[in-house]
Amino acid sequence: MTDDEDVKAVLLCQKGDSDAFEILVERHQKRMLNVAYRMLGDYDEACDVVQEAFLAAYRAIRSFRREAAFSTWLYGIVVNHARNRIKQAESRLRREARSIDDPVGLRDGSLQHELTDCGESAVERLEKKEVEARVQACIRTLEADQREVLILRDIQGFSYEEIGGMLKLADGTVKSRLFRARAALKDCLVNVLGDWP
Amino acid sequence: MTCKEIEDRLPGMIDGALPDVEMIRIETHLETCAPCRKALADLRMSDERVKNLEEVEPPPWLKTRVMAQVRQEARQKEGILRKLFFPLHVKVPIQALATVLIAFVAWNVYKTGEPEFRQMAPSSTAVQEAPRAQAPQEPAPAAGISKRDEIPATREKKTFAPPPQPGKQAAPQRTATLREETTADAEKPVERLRAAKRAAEAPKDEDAWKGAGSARTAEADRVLEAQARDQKQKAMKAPAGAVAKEAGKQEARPAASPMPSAAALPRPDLEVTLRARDPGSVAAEAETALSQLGAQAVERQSLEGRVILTARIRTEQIEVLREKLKSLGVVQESVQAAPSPGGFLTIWIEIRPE
Repeated sequence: MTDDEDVKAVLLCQKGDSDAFEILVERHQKRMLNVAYRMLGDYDEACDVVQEAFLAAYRAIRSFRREAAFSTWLYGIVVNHARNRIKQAESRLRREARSIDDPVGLRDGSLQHELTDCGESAVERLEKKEVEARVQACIRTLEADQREVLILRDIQGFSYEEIGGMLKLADGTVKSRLFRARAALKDCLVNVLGDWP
Repeated sequence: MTCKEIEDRLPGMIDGALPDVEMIRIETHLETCAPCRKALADLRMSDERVKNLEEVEPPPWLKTRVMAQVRQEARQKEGILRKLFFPLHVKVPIQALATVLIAFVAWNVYKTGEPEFRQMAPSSTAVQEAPRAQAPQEPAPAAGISKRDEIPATREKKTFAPPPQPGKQAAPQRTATLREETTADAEKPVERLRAAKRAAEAPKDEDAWKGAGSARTAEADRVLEAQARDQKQKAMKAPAGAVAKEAGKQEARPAASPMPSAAALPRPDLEVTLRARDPGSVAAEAETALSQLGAQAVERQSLEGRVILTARIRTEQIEVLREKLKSLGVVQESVQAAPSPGGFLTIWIEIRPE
């Protein structure tokens, strides 16, 4: 994936060639979907967010000035949309006053205990997907700002500079959030999965 | 460094995000601290679990849906232009028809208002009037070209002169001023006409100055008029009651009326309607003819594209005038009163466009 190809497609879009946007969708949809999925933990919602983000990017593409890489700009948009979706879901949850498969509930001891018990008794039998589900659950327990940085750095492999560009943060802030996220995730996984084999 | 401080920095060991100095210091500490080594091992394992998370694949419909939305968005952007001009086979005839309709309406409006437009436009007849009225061998000083410098001076003098005081004293001063101004142009035919008119009016000057102030302004305007500068102003102000007073008729119009109606004029002895292609220039020629025939109190008004001349003329001159008018256009006339030999007739000449 080279930035040059992105630049060519972006220039065409800025001149009014809407078909050129398909190139950008093709190139970035998977990574965008994974960012959104790791943030939201729900595949369908992640797909919705990616659609919204692409449409928002197309509407604003004339204002893109190439001061940063197009991918940085695009992933910043999807992170924003996912963040807004989480806020909406949280406020809906508060209104409905009920849990809908809410891993955020790990913060209160009961659910965490249930997960821990389940983990301790079946950790060896957990299949890969189950382990992944628990890892995902732990990711969801992180503070939103820490979660974003962890996903972008440790899962998607963006550089500190790119993450700073997407989230409009200084490098030092990115690092401190990431360190706190790693430590919190480690503590959660140790609790959920027990000691590493 | 304490274990707590080391633990806070350990996450930075995962991807080498710490400065070298700190890395060395932490590594030194880890050699002797088992709990910190355990913490670092847990961090590495956690990182490995996260990195090994399976990637999800986008559904096949995602790109299709995104592009459908994008294309719809693009269509909306260019929608306004398309709505205006496309499809061509429908829109072009409509637009052409609208253009023709607008052109037709504009032409009609212009045609209907043409006389008004002509009146509002700077009159070329006013400029041409003086030379035409002059003897052929004379130059045209009143045309405002060769003696342009003198005319504005005279005008300026009048423009900034204090308004005339009501009463008898103002009349001689005013007359003197006007005489000074007209001396230079004494040879102009129009001025000769005005001089003759003033002579005819002389016995009534006192009455005139007793009248409304606008009547005196009208006299000053007639001097301007003689310099053939402002045709419209002349038409508006010249008849300000002068004809009515001079003729001594009973139906005097309000002096301030800018455009008196025909009904307000004194009843004429002879009414002539003259149809001509250019009422302005024909009126100028008729006015010249009147002055050459020794007519008195010649007044001119413009009204809705028509020009109306009123004058008092000797009965003996009627035939000559009639012939002259016939040479200018189609004449219709109606006699309102029997002419008395040796006396004066009040004549009304209305010049209309053909």
